[in-house]
Amino acid sequence: VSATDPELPKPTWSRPARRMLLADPLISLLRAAPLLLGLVLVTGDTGHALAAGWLLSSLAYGMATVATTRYRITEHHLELRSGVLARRRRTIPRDRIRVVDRTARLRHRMVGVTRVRIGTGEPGLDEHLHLGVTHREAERLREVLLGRNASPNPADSGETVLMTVPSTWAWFAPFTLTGLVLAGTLALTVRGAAGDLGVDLLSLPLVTAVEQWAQLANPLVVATAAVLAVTLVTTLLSTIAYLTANWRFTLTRDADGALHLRRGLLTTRATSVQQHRIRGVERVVPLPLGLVRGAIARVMVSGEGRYSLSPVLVPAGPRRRVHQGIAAVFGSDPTAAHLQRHPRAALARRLTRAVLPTLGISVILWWLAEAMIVPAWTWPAALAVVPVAAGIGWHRYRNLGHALVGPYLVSRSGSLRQQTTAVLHSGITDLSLEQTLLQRRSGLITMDATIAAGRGSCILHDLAEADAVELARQVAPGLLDPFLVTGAAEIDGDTDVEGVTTLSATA
Amino acid sequence: VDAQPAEPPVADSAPPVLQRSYLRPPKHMPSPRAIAYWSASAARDWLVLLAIIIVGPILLHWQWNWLPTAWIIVAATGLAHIAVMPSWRYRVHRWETVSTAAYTVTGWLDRTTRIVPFSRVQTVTVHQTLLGRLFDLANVSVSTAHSGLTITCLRHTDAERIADEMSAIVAATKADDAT
Repeated sequence: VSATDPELPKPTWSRPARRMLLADPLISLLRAAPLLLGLVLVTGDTGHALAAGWLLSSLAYGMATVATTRYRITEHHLELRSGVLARRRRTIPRDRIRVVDRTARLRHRMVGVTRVRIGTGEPGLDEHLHLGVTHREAERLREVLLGRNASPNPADSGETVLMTVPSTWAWFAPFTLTGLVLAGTLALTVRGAAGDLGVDLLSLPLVTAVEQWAQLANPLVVATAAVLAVTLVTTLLSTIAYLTANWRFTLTRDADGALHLRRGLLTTRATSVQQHRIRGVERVVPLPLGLVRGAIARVMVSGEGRYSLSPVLVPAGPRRRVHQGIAAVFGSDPTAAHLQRHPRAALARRLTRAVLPTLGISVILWWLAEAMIVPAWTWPAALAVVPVAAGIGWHRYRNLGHALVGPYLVSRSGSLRQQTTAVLHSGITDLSLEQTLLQRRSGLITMDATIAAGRGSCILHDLAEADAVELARQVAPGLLDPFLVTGAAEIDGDTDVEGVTTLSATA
Repeated sequence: VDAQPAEPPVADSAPPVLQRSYLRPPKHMPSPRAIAYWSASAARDWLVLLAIIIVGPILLHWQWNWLPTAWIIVAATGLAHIAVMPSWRYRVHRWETVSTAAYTVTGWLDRTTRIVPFSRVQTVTVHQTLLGRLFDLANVSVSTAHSGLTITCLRHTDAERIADEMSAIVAATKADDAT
């Protein structure tokens, strides 16, 4: 890969590392091994043959696309061109580039390449901005596209280490929900592979033995065993996942103020975020994690259109250390501020919304049980859920709150997944106030401050109607002023109805 | 806007409020044709639903005793909706633009108030639905990075003019870099 100077008007085109062609197709072939093996074992199956044919041709097409990709960085643009049959050339203004994410999976590291993802925040474009290049070139791209001071090694570049994550934090992993997700994915993968190989999982000796035991044993014992098995599997999976993802997690800041997040055991990831792209921070506490006093923090960066791409600032860990991590970046932790509780009417809303549906389901089940359509035990079971739902409703109210903390608007909500969002006033693009019929009757209003980062908004559920306008005035100074009236009573809708008048020409 | 997240947050320094302020409703109404348009589009949606629940069971040879009751309930709900919603909505919908922002109130049972500063606007769009073309009505949308607002049910020529004027304001406003 030839080095290109960004200052020259017309640099030469560079090409991605050719070694990338080795890594990805090889893995695709390995992944498809059950399918290809099945093709040999289960002969004469057209479905298998078609799938294998499609796989091989798409593999060839993908390789050809990578082989024809070229890129260059001019003074103002990043240019990419690629294509075998249909040729495509993209020109991206350099000032639109928000994030340069470097990911090297194990297969990439074996051949010495890094996958660079360039984030502009434009949906539909970002999926295509990937380049497989050498480690050195990846760091050079990062330096050229985002700033010039950072170097791959935090030690020799004037980067300050803000936080590191010790591997002991993996104890928090089982209390997040990743274990369940991973177990589900694993189950689907195993089932898919078995299907490709023509193996019937349900007739395996181990499975039939367990099934026979479950039919004869005490149902309580079976339920306990099932819960234990699921807990064991999810604990194991989530701990392994946590350790591999957050291995040597380091958060640093360079002389330009840009944040650098590096982590990973098998797959190494490095994310760089420019300081002026930071719009706020979000602290997430799933209920189980809250029980062991843990938390997770994500930083909200403009230009990352999807929430899943908001970089993790602090992975699951002790709440105190999460606060310290946020404070290291933001000066102090706005998510830890004392929040103003919402009106009691909001509690009534939370409770009715939790209790009414569960109560309704109980009644329907009772009716169906009377008609002998469902077993008789279902409606008492559903009724037993009602107090739990009420508890969740109460907890949702307890968590509801908001505050203005310096330059941040802070909002907290949720029970099973409590989230505290702190967004910079200056990052708020527009405001909306929403009121349902029932909210109007109880004097509540929901405010939604849109930001171009993270989840896309900071929502304050069920504020007191009277507080909403004041709050909006403070988070968006001047924005509401032309539409405000000061006085005792609300002015009704008796305004001039002259249809359309022209806009003022002051602009 | 140059955000400074590293700065330690200062204590809450809200200016003292002597008298409470209220948002007044926006100044302008949609075209009066909007009532007819909303009625027609609601009627169309209810007729489609009714057609599905009448024709579907006949084609599939389902014979349930309570089917005619369901038809009557759906038809009655639809008629009530068409009778009440359009005029109510017409009383709620308002819009206004000033040199710095666009402001709308929409809805009927539920109400939404939106304020979008022109400094954050990315695109201004005029769009017409098929039914809207019959009534010569159009909507004007201003969109920001993640959100935006729509001024609904304007006469098409008015919509075009307002969109042009808003585009001019957006172009003249120095864009805040919030994206």
